[in-house]
Amino acid sequence: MNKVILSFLLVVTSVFQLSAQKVYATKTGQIYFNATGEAVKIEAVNNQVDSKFVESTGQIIFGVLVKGFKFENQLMEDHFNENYMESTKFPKADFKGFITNIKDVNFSKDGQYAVNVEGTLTIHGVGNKTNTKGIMVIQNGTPTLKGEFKVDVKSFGINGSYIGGKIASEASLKVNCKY
Amino acid sequence: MFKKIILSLFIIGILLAVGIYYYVFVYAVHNKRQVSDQVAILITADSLTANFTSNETLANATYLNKVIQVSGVVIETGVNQEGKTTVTLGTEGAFSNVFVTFKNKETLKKGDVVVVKGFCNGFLSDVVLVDGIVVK
Repeated sequence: MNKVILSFLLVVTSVFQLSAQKVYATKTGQIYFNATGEAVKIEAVNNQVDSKFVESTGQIIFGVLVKGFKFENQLMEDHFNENYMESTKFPKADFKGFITNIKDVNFSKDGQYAVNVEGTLTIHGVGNKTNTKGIMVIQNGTPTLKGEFKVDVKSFGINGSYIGGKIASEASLKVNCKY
Repeated sequence: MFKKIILSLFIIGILLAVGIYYYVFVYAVHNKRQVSDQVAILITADSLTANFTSNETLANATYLNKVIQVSGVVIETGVNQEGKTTVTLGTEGAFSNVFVTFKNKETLKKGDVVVVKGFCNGFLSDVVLVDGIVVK
């Protein structure tokens, strides 16, 4: 009898756990790219960032299509795709990891919460361990994740002329995803 | 005579520099590739999605960076963080569909059968088209 009750309880609690597994998702997140080295500004924005995170565990994923980075200058966009990112060969970049302090975020209370994000960033087919800080903004129950971090272009196997000169050797990526 | 040659070389040099500067920093900014003046590949939303889900590498080779004209049913509309209209075309409940971001504000609603044109950026959870315009 006890066993029956126990297994019943187990089933009930596991169902509750499943329903508590809240996933936030967006397909229209933004990532700004800036690799301005010298005089000429090298900036682009991608408005089709696909991202999901699980509230309970902090597991988070970002996916982005390299061809979705739009520059003001068409020639610059073509160079970015063909000579640097080789976006026909490597169409995607992604990040898979965890918000390590997700427990600090109170999703039912509006405010700004500092978060730590750790994981693997894959660009140009090369994955590198990355950790960065960001801010989770909660507004009317809707989370927005913001953060900015630098990536060493060459550590992703991206070569090509001008890096370190006209193109900064460390590119800055600014994330702004409203879920 | 010698002076004249130097002078004309100098003038040609300046014209060339101005020309290159104009092409790289002015022309390339004002003449972006437009969806409207490129020949499109015609396909339905569901077959486009099916092509990407069955063989992404092949589909990338066929569609990446090309203008695609997609016909399908609007199953979801939205606005992105820049305020641009987005729609999802395909079949409700399907794992993947076609996700289009429009260039201008469009008034489409769920259930509309539409034909749209846009650049194909590739495949994430959906096939992503950008710079979209409504054909009909």
